[in-house]
Amino acid sequence: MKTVLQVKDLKIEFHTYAGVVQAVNNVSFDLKEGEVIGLVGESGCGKSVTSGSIMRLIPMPPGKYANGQILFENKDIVKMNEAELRNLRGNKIAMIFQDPMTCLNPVLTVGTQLMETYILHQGMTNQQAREKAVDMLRRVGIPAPEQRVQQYPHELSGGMRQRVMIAMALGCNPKILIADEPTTALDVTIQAQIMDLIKKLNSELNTAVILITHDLGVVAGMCDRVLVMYAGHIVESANVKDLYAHPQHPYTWSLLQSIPRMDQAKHKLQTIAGKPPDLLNPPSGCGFMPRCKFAMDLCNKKPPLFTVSDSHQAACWMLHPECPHDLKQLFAKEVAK
Amino acid sequence: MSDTLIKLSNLTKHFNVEYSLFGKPTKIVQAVENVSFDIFRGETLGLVGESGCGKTTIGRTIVGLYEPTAGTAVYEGKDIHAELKGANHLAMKRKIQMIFQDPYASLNPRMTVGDIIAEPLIIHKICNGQNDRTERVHSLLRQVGLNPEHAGRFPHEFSGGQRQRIGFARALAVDPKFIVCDEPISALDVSIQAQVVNLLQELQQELGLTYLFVAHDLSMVRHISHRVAVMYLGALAELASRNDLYTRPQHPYTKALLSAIPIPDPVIEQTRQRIILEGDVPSPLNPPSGCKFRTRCKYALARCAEEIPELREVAPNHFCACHIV
Amino acid sequence: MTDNYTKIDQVLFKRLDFKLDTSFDIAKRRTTYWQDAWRRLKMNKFAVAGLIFIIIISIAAIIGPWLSHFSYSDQELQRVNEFPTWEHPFGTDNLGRDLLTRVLYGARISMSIGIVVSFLNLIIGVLYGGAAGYFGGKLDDFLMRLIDILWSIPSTLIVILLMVVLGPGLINIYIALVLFGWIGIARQVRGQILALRELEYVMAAKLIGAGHFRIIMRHLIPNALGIIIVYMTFGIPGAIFTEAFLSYIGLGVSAPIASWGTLASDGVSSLQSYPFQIFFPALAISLTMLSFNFFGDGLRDALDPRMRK
Repeated sequence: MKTVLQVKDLKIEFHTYAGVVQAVNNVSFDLKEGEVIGLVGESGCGKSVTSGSIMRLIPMPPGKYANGQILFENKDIVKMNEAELRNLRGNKIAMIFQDPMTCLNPVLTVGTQLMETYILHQGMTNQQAREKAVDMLRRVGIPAPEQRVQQYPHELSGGMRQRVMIAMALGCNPKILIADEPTTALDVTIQAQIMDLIKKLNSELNTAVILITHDLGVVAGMCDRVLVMYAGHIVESANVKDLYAHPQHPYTWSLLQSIPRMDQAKHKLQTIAGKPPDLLNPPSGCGFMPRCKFAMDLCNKKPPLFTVSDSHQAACWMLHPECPHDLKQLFAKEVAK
Repeated sequence: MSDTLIKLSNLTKHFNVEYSLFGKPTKIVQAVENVSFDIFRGETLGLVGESGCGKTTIGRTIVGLYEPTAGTAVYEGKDIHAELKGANHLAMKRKIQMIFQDPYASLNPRMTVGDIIAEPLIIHKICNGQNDRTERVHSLLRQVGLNPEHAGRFPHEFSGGQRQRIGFARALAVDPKFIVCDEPISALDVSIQAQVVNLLQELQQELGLTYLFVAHDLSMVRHISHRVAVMYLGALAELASRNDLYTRPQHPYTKALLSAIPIPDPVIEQTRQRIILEGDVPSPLNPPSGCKFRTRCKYALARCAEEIPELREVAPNHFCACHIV
Repeated sequence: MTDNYTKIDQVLFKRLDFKLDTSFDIAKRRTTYWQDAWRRLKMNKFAVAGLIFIIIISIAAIIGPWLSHFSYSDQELQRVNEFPTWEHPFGTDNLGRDLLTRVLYGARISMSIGIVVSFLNLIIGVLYGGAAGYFGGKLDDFLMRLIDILWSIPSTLIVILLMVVLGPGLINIYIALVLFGWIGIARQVRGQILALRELEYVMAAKLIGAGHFRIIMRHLIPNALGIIIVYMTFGIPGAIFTEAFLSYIGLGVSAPIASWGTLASDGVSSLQSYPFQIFFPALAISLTMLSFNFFGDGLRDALDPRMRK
């Protein structure tokens, strides 16, 4: 499959009055055509900054691209000028956000906002754009689209607004859809509808999706591959089945242990004691070390990403071939429990 | 878990959102409509539902923040709202407390943490003098897992999870018997949620507390509750023990709700068949007649539009409000 | 993504004891709300300039007249209408009085009126607006309708009429200025209290048994202080100007007391021949008002919690 996006060694800093925050450090991944990858982590891990930076949406002071390339269609997005960026956003790469109310202009009708993208990027006339808008609304499952097209955002419910956002995003058939916590603010039954919709559109239009979320259940249902982020780094990247069945990084495993499951009764939820590191003074070693039960002296040095298999990498010293077996077995036993 | 601590009878709460020129309310939100259930001593009753179902309103009405439009809420035989209006209102406030959802808005940013926890002690005159009070504040901080040395700090210096603990300590200061937990973990990170939930459970064991756990995260509710009540648009749809509800749900809404919850296991998730509900939740300004769920229910009959279903016992200790079951 | 198989000393693989540091550091730097606001204020050059000028004029108002060897009423009829010289840096007026001294005295009058009136407006406004916002319902409706009525009355007209009726004098000026001055603050405070009232920590306070007084004094007012302080700061130039205006049209303080308004009024007739006589008082009024406005603006931005960091 063709690779549609390549992120290489991305490093993003924020220059604040208190110092420099190393928000994203050494992040690299590839996105293939039509693939759905999940970017998971807790708040502060850098996933939103990473996704926002793909289209250069991060305000540049105080943010700064300290290093790295984002290659799309053989061009580096980091170096693109304004005109190229405008051509890219909404057209080749689209994004949907968590709160649809703040992303839709409350004084314009839904139809006008949809038509805007078509007129701008595809040079359609008003009439053509209108027809396409109605068609897109139907495609995202909004009943009676001819009436809805004339309504204002506040007249629609949360789930419907999110669908309108999706219609706006996918209107120009972008290669990539970035979805930043699209269902976090929605009720669970609506969340199921939206997840279904995104999956359907992904297979129909072959749009690659980068899904950012902290909900491991949503990821399990939607993604082909998963990247786990912690303290600005990618700590594990794997096929979705491999990640859940055989996590290789202690953080991934702890995260999986701390969420309750509907279908299993757990006596007590495992917690991860402590807090994520301060990104103003990031630790020189592995960021997870103070909270890790398997920490070694070696962990004072930052671990590189070790290859576990073709599609599975994790940044943990336990994967080094010289790591003593008893430690590795201890971890494996914990995971198997 | 034998005797009833709180009894709700036909509790109803309406909010007037618009008035006509003459002061008559023209738009009414029927947030809670005719809800009755018991909460037993020592248990955790989970109250779930989606937005607009009225679960937060019920929680706030029970503790006295709202006056019921109709119906009663009774604590150990005493009408809560009558007590709260009477001369003895402080006594009732010692028995029922609440912890809130937003860790950033639930603590006064201008008070130190120590002052926040000491305030109820001062109001209820619980301790003898300053030293005794300081002792108690420190012991409460330790009880919720925080360092007593930090009592002089301000809320903004703590993380979300720590702030929830402070709010919990404030509620515990008066030695309550019943605590309404209004979505206490929704705003927290996943790994911190586990910490707070574990704390709630530990202290329940230690202090014999009773909880009404209002939440929308059904996986977490399953973990912490003994019994679970499901609400939809202001009415109670189903009430059962935890295991019964999750393994043998009876109400069509409960079934759809449970099937919508994502399970963190790709093998299951990618093959399961979901019950996808069509459409959106109707507006509480204009709820459907009869059974509120009928507009999205696959099994709706003519009867569902005419008659509001009663909450009946369909299996031992398993109640459901549906004409079909 | 590298596969790093360089040889690593076995010793480094030694497992560390898992000992979680529970005395977690909860903040790197302790900043209170006020410290943070002060830092932000310092970054605003205009606000700092305004503050410096305010301090200068306050000091000048307090000790200036003592330092001058003239009094505000000493007349030196040989030295009338003199242009500024070293001996009389602001010149003299048509009765030979030193203008610098008179302007400094005027500073006393104007500054004290500005601050006292603003403070009185604050007290009344906070009580009124606080009660309306906190109790809500019919009381709020009534109080706000009252404000609407008062607001629609042309206040300048009433103030003028009042001064005509009461006659000149400092106390009467206070009365006239406070009569309508509290309305702005009352509205702002009411709005702020309405918003704060819905916050969860206020609900929590009710639940733990706090009475009305405790909720208002400990929970609502301290969090509304930001708005209150800013409004008071903006109120000062308004009061100064109104007093100057009243004195200018002859309804304010009476001769020989020098207020900036009377000085301006005295100087206007000789605008073409001795422009300095109106220039200096007018400059004093303008600079003072500008300083308070810059400072108030900066203060408002600095105290706005949303603009934190």
